[in-house]
Amino acid sequence: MSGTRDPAVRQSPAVRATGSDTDTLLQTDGVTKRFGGFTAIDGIDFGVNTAELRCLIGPNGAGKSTLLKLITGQHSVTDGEVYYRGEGITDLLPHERVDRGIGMKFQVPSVFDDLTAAGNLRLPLQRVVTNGDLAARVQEALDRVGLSDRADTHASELSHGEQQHLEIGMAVALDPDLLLLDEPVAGLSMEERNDIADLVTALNGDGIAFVVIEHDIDFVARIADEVTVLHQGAVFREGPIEQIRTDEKVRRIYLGGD
Amino acid sequence: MGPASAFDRARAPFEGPNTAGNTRGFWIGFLAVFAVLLIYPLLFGAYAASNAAQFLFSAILGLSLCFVWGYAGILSFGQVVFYGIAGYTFGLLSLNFGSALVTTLALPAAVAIATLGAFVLGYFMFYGEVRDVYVTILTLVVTLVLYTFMGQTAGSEWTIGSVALGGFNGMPAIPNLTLGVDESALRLSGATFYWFTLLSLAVIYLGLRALVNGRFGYTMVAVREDEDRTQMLGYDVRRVKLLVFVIGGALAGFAGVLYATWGNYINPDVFGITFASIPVVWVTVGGRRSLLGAIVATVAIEWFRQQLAVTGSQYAIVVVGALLLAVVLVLPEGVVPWMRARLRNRSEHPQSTDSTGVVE
Repeated sequence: MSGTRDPAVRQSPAVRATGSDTDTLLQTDGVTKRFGGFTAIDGIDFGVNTAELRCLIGPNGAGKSTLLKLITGQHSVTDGEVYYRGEGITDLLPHERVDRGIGMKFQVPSVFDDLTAAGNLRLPLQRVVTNGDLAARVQEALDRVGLSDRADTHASELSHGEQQHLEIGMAVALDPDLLLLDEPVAGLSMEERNDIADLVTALNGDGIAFVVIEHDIDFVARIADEVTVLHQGAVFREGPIEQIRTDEKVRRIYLGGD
Repeated sequence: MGPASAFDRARAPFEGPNTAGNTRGFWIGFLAVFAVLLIYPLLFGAYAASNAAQFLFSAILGLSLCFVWGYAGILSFGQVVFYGIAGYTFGLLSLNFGSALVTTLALPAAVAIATLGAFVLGYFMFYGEVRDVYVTILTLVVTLVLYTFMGQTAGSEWTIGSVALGGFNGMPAIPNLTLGVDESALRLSGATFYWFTLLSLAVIYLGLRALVNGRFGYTMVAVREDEDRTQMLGYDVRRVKLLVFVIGGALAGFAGVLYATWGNYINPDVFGITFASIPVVWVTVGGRRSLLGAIVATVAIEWFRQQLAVTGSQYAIVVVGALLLAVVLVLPEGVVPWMRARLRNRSEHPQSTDSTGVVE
């Protein structure tokens, strides 16, 4: 886990959007997404610092997944700007953002069933690694997510938890600086959750910043430095997990629902 | 062990998870079948060889669709567009100039024009974010537009150089495929045309095997399985699909030249809905994720159609349509992958059947 941060020293979005602060990795500036007449994301300023681990929570339909897709470019913004390392990336295509260091793990586990675990990890690597090193790099990537002994297993035959590890491994293989995880522990056993928490914490310790969407508040408490609460397409609260957890209004919109 | 390991090394580039036939037994069978096909003209004569050649260049057209559809998920009715464009281009060039040199060069030139056509159509589709079934519809529409357009070129105003496009009368007297620069040039017909076609098919089959089992093959399979996800691994999916489509267009164009030179004739029926649908039938029946299946099914169905054509071609097409329906309903993965799964189950433990029907 990276060092703790004092939320009080966070700068205004406008300052961070200029990229003058080298600690800011990602910043959205008033991003808005409308689907027809429905406003899914309503002018959000959302920032992530280098090597930060930030969780994104909020009730269903709050706009969490949509916000991630605006960051990756899978959705185009209706209004506003997205900055990465001070560069405007709003008009870049998803694969161009990946090349700049943004990785994404989808909500639904979607490894490539027809390929083995090694074959899946080969996909991100073969684009950037020359022939001689490919096998070694695939092995390294397998080690990193603890799947060394599953290299030749078809992805469809991996357990749900192993598939999550594999998917995170595929995103990590490209050496991202920012990794977006959409519900990485949904449907996993307690033991598998702990494994994912350990993996995410270790990768964060290696310097990768994370934005993690998660409903399980215990999991959030275990991994997160900072939490952003979305509600109805807007930022409802931001702060350290202990503070968010005890916030009455947050409880009312979200936690109280359970 | 020496020669055995040399054999194993030689087959390595052609093997991988994306094709059937990754055993020594397969390659020994492959070489045996190839040897029989090589001596076929010596056994049955030039006429039989010429007749068989049409099944072989049809298989190249089948492979082109298997490649774009089975491996990259692009269901195209437009393979015949590139087939026809290349056939017409070859005719126009060779008939206008008439020299052996130009006729020789007309083959690569016609393939190049077909490839360019695939690039232009593919660019507008894939960079225009046209996806899935809309690609299929668009390729079908382009095919039918060309059919209508070429059908109305009977008038003398549709003469390019000294060669008339000829509308539904078609373009006759297209010269044979020629290899050479002067009077001594080799003009392929009968057995020589058959051998050229057979060798081309073998080279294209092996080339595609190497391609789909290599880096690009992994990328294609990823695009087929999940475009969004492939994008998030840093791939420009549009570019991958365009490249696949262009390669498929080049192969279809090559087959189209062989067709035009084989019958010395081409007409707008190559753009008709019947002919546009036939490659989809070949590949569906053979198994769209199996290159070998595409070849086997194409040859078998075309042979079958020819046999039935004796009793009337409309009847033949109804039977082929029924075959398509039966395969889609009963063996959705295609006949060849099904047979392969059966063979595997027999030779392996009966309980290891969880991958039945899944084609690698």
